[in-house]
Amino acid sequence: MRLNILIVDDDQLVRDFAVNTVAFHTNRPVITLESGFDGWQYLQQQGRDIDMVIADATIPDMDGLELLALVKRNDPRKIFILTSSNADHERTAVHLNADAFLAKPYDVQDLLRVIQELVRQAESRPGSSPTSRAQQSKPRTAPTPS
Amino acid sequence: MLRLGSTSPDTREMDLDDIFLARLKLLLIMAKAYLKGWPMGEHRSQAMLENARHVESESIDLGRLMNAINHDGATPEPNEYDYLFYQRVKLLAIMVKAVAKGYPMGEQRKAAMQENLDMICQTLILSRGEADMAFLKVA
Repeated sequence: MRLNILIVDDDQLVRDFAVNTVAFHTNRPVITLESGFDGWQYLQQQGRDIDMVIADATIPDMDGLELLALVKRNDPRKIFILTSSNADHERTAVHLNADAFLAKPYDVQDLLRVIQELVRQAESRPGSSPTSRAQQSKPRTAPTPS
Repeated sequence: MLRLGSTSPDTREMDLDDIFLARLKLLLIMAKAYLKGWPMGEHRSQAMLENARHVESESIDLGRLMNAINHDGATPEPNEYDYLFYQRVKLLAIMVKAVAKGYPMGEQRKAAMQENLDMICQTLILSRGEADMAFLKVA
């Protein structure tokens, strides 16, 4: 599974746990940042390489809800998972078109299941999945002469 | 929109026990995946090493943790059951670290790892009931 994931959370314990879980599952490096502003700057500079964003609602500088709004306005296809310890954020997440809401405390199977389900949904849409984008970037072979 | 995690009344910040339990489950998944022959790559190995180190270092008050698992607020008396479970969890963490570092794992070592894993899973299942067995199927 060639999936590039960005995790934005200022809680180091939660962030490190999520990184280990995601890195083990995807066997890919995971980008981590602590503030919404840093997350937005990174996405503006290297966002094309990021397939999925997992951000907490309460992060410094720019909160996760604001980051969600900006990301979806900029690229509605980018997968965004909002995590929060506040159940009220779920309604806002729906309004801002988040792909998933992960209520804290969450477990290993919650995190893995939401990633697997969102990738499955993305792959079912032709041309918009992380793996299909990877396939599209493969060099085309020249047609063999008849 | 998908919704997972805790239900509304129980939503709160994750505390140390939540993190440790989640990491313990991740450790079990990592061990199961290795024993089932999942390919180990660089990032997977690094994640295994970091997770195992955390579990090993944090396995210090499992008596209180087992009460949290059983939703029992009573302070436990130290007993052999807790001590053995604590030792098995630490042993599993050491085993996973060895795998992550690329130490040779022969059949005997794998069998010992499988047995240790089975004992830990059995204890967790008996403690929490069948509802949480689903996480064991993730790997």
